[in-house]
Formats: sequence, C-alpha cells, structure tokens
Amino acid sequence: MITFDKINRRAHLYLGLFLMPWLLMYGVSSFIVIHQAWFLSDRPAREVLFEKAYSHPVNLQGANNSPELRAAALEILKECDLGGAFWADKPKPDTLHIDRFSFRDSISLTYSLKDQKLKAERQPMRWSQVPQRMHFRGGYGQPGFGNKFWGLLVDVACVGIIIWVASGLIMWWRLPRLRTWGAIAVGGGILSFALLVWTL
Amino acid sequence: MNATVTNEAIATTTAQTPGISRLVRRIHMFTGLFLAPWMVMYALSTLVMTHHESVNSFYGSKSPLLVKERELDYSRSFPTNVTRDAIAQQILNDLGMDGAYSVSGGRNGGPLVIQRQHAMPQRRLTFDASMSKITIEREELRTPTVLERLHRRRGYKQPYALEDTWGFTVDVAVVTMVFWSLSGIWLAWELKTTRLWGALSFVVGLGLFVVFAALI
Repeated sequence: MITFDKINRRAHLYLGLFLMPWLLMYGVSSFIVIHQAWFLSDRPAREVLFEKAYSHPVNLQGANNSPELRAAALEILKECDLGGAFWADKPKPDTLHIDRFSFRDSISLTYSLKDQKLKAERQPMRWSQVPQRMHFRGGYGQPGFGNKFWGLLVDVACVGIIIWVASGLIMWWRLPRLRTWGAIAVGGGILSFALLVWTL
Repeated sequence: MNATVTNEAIATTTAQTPGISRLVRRIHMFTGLFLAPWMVMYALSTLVMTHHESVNSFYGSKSPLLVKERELDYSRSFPTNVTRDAIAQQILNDLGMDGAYSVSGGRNGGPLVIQRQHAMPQRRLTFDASMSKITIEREELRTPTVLERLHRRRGYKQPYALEDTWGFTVDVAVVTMVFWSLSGIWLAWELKTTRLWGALSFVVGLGLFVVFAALI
C-alpha cells in the first residue's frame, strides 16, 4: 500500500526533476535581470531585412497592444509570412510598430501610413537575452498552440513550486530529529521576509 | 603499494559519500525551508501577472484606488535649476518619508508627483508649488498588486540599505534555485529505486523545454 509520505516524497522528486529546466531558467534569467549592467556589452547591431513601399488599410484607433491594433498587426505579419508572438504599439499617431519575437531573436516592423512604407529589422540573438525572453513570456495572450502551451507550462511551474514548498514542509515535519533546526529555518525565513516586506 | 593506495582511496570515498550526501541533503532542505516565503511569493505573483485579466475582474477598477490621507502646507521654494530628483528627495526628507521613490510631472509649472515606493500600499505625493501645498494619497491595499510589486522589485537601484538588502535576498534565492536544481539531480540519482522514473521525468521535462526554446 502506498502511503501518503511516499506519494509526497515522489511528488517532490519527480516534479522537481521535470520542472528543473524552468527553475534553472528562472534562476539564471533573474540574475541577468537584476544585474542588467553586467550583460549589456553583447549587443549586436540590428540588420535591415527589407524596406519597401507598402499599402495596407489599418485601423490605428486602439491603444498600444489593444485588440484593434493587434488585429491590424496580425494582418501585416501574415502578409509578410511572419507568424508567432508579437506586440503592437504606436510610436506616432500615423505609425504602427510591431515587435515579432521568439526566444532567440526579434523582428521589428515599422509601418508608416503617411509614407506608405514598411521596414523590417532583425535583432540577432544575444545569449543573455534568451533566458530573459523565456522569463518574461507567460499567459495565453499570444497566438498559436506553442505559445499557449508554454503559458500552460509556466502555470504548471508556478503550481509546482507551491507543491515543492508544501511537500518539503511535510517531509521536514516527518523528521523529528530535524524539527527544531527546521523550525528555526522556517521561522527565520518567514520573519525575515515579513520584516523586509513591511519595511521595504 | 599501488593496490593499497587504490583500496584506501576507494574505502575513503565510500566512507565519505554518505557524509557529503547528508550535508547536501541538509543544505537542500534548510535553504528550502528558509526561502519558502520567497518561492511562494514568486509563484503566486507569476500566476497573478499571467492571469491579470481574471484577477482584475475581482476588483472594481484596473488599478488600486488612491485615498487622500492628508493635505499640508509646504512653503519651501526651489530654484529653477534644481532637478526634480533633488526636489523629491528634499520633500521626502522634510516629511520624514525618506526611501525609494520615482518622480513624474513638475515641468512647465505643473505639479510634481512623487511615488514613494513601498512593497505594501505605496503613497503618492503631489507637490503644487504655485499653491505651496502637498497632497498625500495612500493606495488601497490589494494583495495581487503587492505580490506583483514584490516580484518586480530588484533592489540595488536606489541608495538605500533596505533596497540592497532586498536585492541581496533575491540574489541568494537565485543562487539557491540553481543549487536546488543541481543538488536535486544528485540526490535523485542516489535513490536507486526511483532512478528510472526520475530519469524519465528529467528527460521529458528537459525535452519539452528544449523543443519550446527552439520553436517559439
């Protein structure tokens, strides 16, 4: 008969092994985000992919990344044969800017309604940006099965972390010899955290 | 002679392995227990951010409401060449509210707005130089907002010891996450009964991660 303790230990172990790449990615990317200045040197120049005369009736009424603006951006991306995740904004009232990004690189499209021109530039891959792009990607707002499944995996990682914490606490409590030192660690952590949050 | 040395070396390694394993296991556990609040905060705040529309639907407004706390006379005047940051710092000092902040407005005679950043509800100070008045508003407490703010707070950015302390704890959490991952593999490998399923979990997770890293 499988006991609760055994299920708890196995859940901690298997979930940990399955989600380890995400934990590592969040650790490394957080370090890069916090110490951004240390990683700014590797910034390759943008390469122009094309700049052409372009005419496409678009509705630029919506706010940045609003459904209206995204719909207009999606049409342009489809015409340029560029699928995937993107962000749409208006740097000027007559200009639509689309940032079509993947974990590796990004393509910036600028459509000027006034000049009827479309320009595409590619930002080549930077190693320090890959984990950051993964870090900041979540949710289900981007089109395509892959993007939505990634959103699901991020949710699973979050729930997984909460399960690790809960199962870890249970495992510690079942070790009577370590209860005192464990209680000091738990208490110290909660107190330090609460104090910081209160005063920060 | 060589055989003796080799045997001794094997014996020493065998005798040390449980000790090292135990130490790694203990560090894995105690750091986990200590950093549990940080990990829960990061997990919950990520869920809040990725599901912000669903979370916001529980509240009447998109961002927390500001409640007027007090309005006070403030007669200090500033020369035109003083920066907005310097003005904000002076005001916060004068009011005994020194700490991390951000500034906006204050141009062309408009009121200067200081966001005094707190993990818990933050305050907005509006300095109207033409009226010599400061209005202090306090943000309504919302757990999702507090979580999101904690998640985004990086530390080290402002000259306050508390900021650096927070930044240091985040650094510790980050380094520990890497340690948990690597020590987790080692500890799992030592458990012979779970080695197969453990390896399978690891390979499936890693495979999915690599496929997504390459495809999207």
